[in-house]
Amino acid sequence: MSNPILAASLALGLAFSIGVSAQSGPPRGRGPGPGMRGGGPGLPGIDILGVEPIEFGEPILDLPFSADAVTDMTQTLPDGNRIERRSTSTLARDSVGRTRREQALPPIGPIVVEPERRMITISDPTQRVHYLLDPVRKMAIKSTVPSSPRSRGELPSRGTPNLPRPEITSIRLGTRPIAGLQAEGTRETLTIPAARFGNVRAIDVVTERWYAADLKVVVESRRTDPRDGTVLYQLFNIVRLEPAASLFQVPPDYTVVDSPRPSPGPPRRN
Amino acid sequence: MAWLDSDETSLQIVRLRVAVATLAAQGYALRDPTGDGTVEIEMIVGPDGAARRVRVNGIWPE
Repeated sequence: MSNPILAASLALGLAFSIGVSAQSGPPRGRGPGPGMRGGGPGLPGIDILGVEPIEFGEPILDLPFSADAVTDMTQTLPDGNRIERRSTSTLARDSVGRTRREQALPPIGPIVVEPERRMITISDPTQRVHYLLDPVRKMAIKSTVPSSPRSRGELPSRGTPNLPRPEITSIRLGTRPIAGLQAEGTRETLTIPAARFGNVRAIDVVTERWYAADLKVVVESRRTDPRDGTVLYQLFNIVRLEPAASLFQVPPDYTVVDSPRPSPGPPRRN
Repeated sequence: MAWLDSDETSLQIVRLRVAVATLAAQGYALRDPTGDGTVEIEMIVGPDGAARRVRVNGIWPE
């Protein structure tokens, strides 16, 4: 028996309503396929199928470094309670612009993935190839990104063709030393107009970004979205040396598999 | 359109397959559309490691 579309609400700060069609009957199964398996104690049943950049951009040449990063997420609830989370990551870039990042899988909306799941990615903007490494299964999940960039700041979405568009304003904050580098600051305010998705008033999302032009990297950012809270990101322990070449290569004992393509969504209901 | 970040090159899409039972254990009642007990979830993750948006089965919220 088929049930009606069920609305699921996964609040990511904002009301997040989606329709997922219900279906009964025995599980069909799609086989294991590539993906980093969840399991063990805590929150099981989460496979990371792939990680890929939305757009590569130009490779940053001859500016190698490695660094640690700390991300602090703080959200104050209407009753005054607070949710505070911290995650760490490491990143590296070599002289030909390849990057490696090791970071935690962030919360899926309000769902915190515990125990922490780490994602190791290698990105080669010259070859337009991105790998997600799975050390447990010794597998590298490969993604390629087409060369045609999307319009800046936009992703395809459904509906809302006649709604007012968000506006972005930006101001310069000057320069200050951060982590041993001179960083230029900008404060960018994204104003989402009222009635865009049921919001009674406009919503301002404010991002302060401190960019070290000398190394072409953001060394600190603070993003405040009234729906999500504040995210503070800071780089530490910046080492301006060529990282080991092996960091940017898929280990030889790994099997490389293509990232599975996303399954199509449910049919649109008008 | 979902507006996310002026620095689009720093955004990543993380694609997940999540067991419906896992979501149910967290209080989210979902039925999976394919009947295999899972749903596919995509997250846009910023350079700070925080998720910007989450979608299930192809619909990005604002």
